Amino acid sequence: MKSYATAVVASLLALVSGAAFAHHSFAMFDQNETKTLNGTIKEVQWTNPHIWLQVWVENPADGKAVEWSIEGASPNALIRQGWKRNSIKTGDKVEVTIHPLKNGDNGGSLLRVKVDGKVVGGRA
Amino acid sequence: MRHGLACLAGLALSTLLSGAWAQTSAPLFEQPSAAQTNFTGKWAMPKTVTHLITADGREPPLNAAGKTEYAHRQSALRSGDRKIDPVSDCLMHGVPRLLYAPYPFLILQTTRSVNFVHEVNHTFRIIYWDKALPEDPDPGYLGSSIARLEGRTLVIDTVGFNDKTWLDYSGLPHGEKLKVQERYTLQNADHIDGTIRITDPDFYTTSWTTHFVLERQPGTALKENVCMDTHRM
Repeated sequence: MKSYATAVVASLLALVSGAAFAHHSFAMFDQNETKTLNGTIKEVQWTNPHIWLQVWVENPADGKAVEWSIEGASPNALIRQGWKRNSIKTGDKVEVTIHPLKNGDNGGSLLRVKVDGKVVGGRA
Repeated sequence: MRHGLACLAGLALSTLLSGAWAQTSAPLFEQPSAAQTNFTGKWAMPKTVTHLITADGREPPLNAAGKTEYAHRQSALRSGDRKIDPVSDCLMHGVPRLLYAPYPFLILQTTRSVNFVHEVNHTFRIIYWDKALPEDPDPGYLGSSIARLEGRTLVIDTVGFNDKTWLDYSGLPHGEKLKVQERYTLQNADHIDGTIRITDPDFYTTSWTTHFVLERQPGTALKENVCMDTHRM
């Protein structure tokens, strides 16, 4: 029951964030797993074919910040959902929800991002 | 006086020429008549399809060479190596992969040609009506296409592909012998039902057909999309 609910939420989140239009292969991300991270934006790469959020995330084990690479939808797709290229900036405190990389590296595909508690985009 | 005569001669000449032009040339690009099936509009797939399957729900009929190549590509993609995908180098999406790119496109239908204007990497196809397929086309990313109407169905036949594109986002292979037939049927004003028939004896044991749908995208303006610009896979 829990995994079904997670899957439903994840697919709804995917629609909102544009990840439903993720093209290319997202085969390296675990579509059955969802992770939520809190961190600070190091850099936003507003690039084709997918944007990238480079996020400093505190490692709970030692309190050190590690960099996560999070891949989103295309700039054009995100703009159509209400994003602007400067919706997220270096230094912003964010909460990101992702499908993590299967290989365990610090990365994932973006499902949703909140800046100061507010979901970016958010037009379904 | 001489200047005035020259002007008059020039005017007469240009009138003669424009009159001749109007008489010998049909209007080049006209809207279809109101009675004609008209596919003009902005279209997109309602949801992403990264892997083509046959119309009866099976895996495409890859032959031995096809299976080997497909397995190689799939393995690379699963391990995160997207460089194997030609669009990672901003090479053009081919046909039918253009339809599956998650960007809208414009179909602009005229009496002379049906034109696909794809947002993805600013790609276009100009496809002329009722011509014959070329016998020995130069291989290209988009091939050489011709269009015709069968009742309310737009039929596009394409030959002359190079081998530098993938059929779909999962890496289905094709070679230069590829022939593609696209069929678009307007179900109602906002919905196209379509099929794509793939024939390529280099990689498939038999021809096969896949099904797709398109939905009209009212209020969508095509945006610039330049793959090479700040590109990161």
